[in-house]
Amino acid sequence: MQTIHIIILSLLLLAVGYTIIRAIKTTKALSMYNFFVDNTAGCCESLGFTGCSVICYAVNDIEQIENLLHTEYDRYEILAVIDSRLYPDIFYSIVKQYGLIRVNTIVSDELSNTHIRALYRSRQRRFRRLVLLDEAYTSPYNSLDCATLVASYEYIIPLNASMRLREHAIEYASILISENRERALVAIHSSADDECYIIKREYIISHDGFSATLFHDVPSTQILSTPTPLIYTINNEELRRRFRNNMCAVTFLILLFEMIWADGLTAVATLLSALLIYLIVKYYNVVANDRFCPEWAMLCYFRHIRRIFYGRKFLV
Amino acid sequence: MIILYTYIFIILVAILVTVIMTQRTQNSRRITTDKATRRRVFYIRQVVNLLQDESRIPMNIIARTRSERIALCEAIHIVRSHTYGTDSSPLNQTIRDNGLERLLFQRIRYSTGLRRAHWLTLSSCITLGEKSIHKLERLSNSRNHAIRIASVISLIASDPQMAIQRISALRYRLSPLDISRIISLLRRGIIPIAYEPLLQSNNYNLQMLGIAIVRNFGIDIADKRLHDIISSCNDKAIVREAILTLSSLGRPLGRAKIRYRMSNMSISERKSFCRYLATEGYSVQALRTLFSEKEMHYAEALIKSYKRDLVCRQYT
Repeated sequence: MQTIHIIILSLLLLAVGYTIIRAIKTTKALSMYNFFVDNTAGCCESLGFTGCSVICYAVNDIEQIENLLHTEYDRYEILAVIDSRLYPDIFYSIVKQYGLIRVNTIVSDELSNTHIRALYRSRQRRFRRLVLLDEAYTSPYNSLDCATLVASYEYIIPLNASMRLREHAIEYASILISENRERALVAIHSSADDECYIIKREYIISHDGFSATLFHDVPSTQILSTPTPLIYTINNEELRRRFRNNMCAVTFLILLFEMIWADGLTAVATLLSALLIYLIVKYYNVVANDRFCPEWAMLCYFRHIRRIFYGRKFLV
Repeated sequence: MIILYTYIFIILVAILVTVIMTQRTQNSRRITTDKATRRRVFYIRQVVNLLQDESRIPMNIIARTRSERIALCEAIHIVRSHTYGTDSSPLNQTIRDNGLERLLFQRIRYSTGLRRAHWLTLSSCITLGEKSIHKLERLSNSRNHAIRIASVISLIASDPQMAIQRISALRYRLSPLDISRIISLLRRGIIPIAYEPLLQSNNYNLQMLGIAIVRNFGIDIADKRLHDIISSCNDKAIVREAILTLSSLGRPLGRAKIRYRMSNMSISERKSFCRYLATEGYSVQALRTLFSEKEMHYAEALIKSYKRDLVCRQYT
């Protein structure tokens, strides 16, 4: 019985401790981000010739492209990938909105199984960063591969339909890349957002495109993990609800187990530690005053536990 | 043991609840932030009026409280970092009368980390006395990168004649962002744009700064010096920067020494460079001298792709 107590309490302490460390790290990273944004405005111009191509696959809202076009970093482009036959409405609305015209398509043969039908660009200078790809959709990984082929810059940022870039995220990413140029980095992972990766184009090509196993063989030293949040997600109510339900269910199961196998005091300790984790996250929310970082995003590290058993996966 | 854990958790929960409530109350009183912004805007107007006043009638800007003096510091910093070649002497009286130097150095002394770096950045916009310069010299060797570079910038801004000596005396390499921040001082007309001695120097920081000046100000007559660097320099990072700068200026790249340097590059570096040249608008003919027949196939695909030719069918 004593052993069960010790194990349960150690796990609780570990969870609470990790949440505290994570909240502190993210708060510090956010203040660093704000410091750079406030004090280096206008300085982030083609830092060390670093360029980023943002790929949006499964675009279903023109507002996402609007959000991405706000970035002012000069070596930056947006590649929107849509199948015009599957989603003609959104495709032609984008073409119309930005006055896009079809341009020549001679795509290199670096990756196999890519089906690009056409490329579209705008005649208007203010939209010159935008490239629209019409591809025959087979899978999200294929959409990403198609965009990688036409990407001009060294680093790729894949975004799905619900992801949006934070203000000055590209500038901050360029600072990170240019300051770590001498390290042989394959990717930068924003651990605050769980799914945000900035990946080196050459690595994707050498790996024969995107896949769930993209980072399987990569040593952790070649992936720079930053606690700075670079993106935020919208329309995540369903995800939040599911996550909240899962957390409540897990807490309830632990409590039930303790009521049966341990004693009431352990159950109280568990309840208190769950409350503590929630309060720490709430505290981060209040202190950082971060309107984009909801509580569940801070707790996404619980999903990282899977990596211990399955390795790092690139999921879309 | 379990009782001890429970007590600790209870205490932590109580502390967190109190802190969150306090922070919330403070956040709800954030009208002060608006007040600070209004105050800053007020002082920005006054500082602009003072700098625009050609009659040179002494005009006093008075900040009575500490928060007003901070707002005045921020206003001076904002105005000075957004203006080019302004004569700052009318501001000296205001800085002296309001004791801004003393206030800033008090803040620098009692703060740490990013806050200290922030105050140091503000101090780059005021004229400093010798005592303050000594303090900044000590801080320029700080272990914290943000503090280190903020104090170097402040030192350069306060004593532009010594800028080259100070940069060459640095024991660490400046990052691309640091160089961009120094370039922003150049744009403000604080330090002279003498790129030749910088390019001729053997110091890494000075050479990188010289190359950045050439690129930022589009000095295409500097191509001879850049060619010298490409042929004689042993540092790969400097050579890379010089080649990329040369191509961003749109200069011919067919010289033997550039071809030799390129032959030493890895395949991925060459590909990345090829993409860079395509985005910079180089022709197929210009690239033929730099890349092999196999690589030319890739280069041609890039140049003849969406970046060059328009298919005259408009989908609107």
